[in-house]
Amino acid sequence: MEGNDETNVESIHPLISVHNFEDNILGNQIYFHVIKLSESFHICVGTAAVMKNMAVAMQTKYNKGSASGNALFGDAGDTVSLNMAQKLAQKTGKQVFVSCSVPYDQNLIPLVEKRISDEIKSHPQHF
Amino acid sequence: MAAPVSSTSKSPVSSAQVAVNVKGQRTDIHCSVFTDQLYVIVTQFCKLGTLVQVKPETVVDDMEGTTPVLTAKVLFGNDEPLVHVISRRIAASLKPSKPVLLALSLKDTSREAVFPLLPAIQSCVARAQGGNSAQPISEEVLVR
Repeated sequence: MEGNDETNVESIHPLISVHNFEDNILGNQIYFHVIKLSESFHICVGTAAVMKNMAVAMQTKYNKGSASGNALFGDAGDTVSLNMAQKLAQKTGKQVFVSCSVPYDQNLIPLVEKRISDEIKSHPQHF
Repeated sequence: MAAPVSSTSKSPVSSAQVAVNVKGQRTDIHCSVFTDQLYVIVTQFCKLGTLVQVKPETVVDDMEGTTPVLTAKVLFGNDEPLVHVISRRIAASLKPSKPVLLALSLKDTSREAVFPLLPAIQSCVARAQGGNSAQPISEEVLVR
């Protein structure tokens, strides 16, 4: 081993890409932060830059109906992120990670999901 | 290190990503800064892999006063001692003030493969946090 490790490090173009967008939904300024990975993506949704929870979901060949998912951390009783991850996994066929921290509102969540669906339709290259 | 970096100032979540090639092994590094935690992805498969939460804590000791320690908890994936060691080593090099959520998926977990990544991870996190000066990495950090 020669002492200097840094000589072997070469910078290349990153494959991970990020897509940010914002929208005002029912008076709440909601930001969306999408991290695109290989065959999967992580979407963080919220009104403030916090990541309180995370859920994952993916399609399996055994359950064509709904995607399998699980909450990873945060409040396990809060199923908003999990439901959203399952819907997105079903829609995109990818492994989806969701961190959703919007204030609970029955009317707001479907609109947030619709906003994400619209963005997937209009900018599929970011997901 | 002048890797292409895309970061947005408009979004409340600032982020940066770099990719480095260490001995022919491609590694993608991403960092998102949340107010409650740092989210760092270090991947050689372009996937999340193992998710580890590293929390900075302090141990109060009568003899030595307060000692900062890092505790690692594997949220999902490979819960092996080596994963704890590598994630705490990476988190320690970032000197975090808030919890670090680290997504690790490495093909090669040898010391020779992991240590050269630390400067790249540090500069990526520094860029995401807005300090665009890639701080020179002291030899001490690399050797310890």
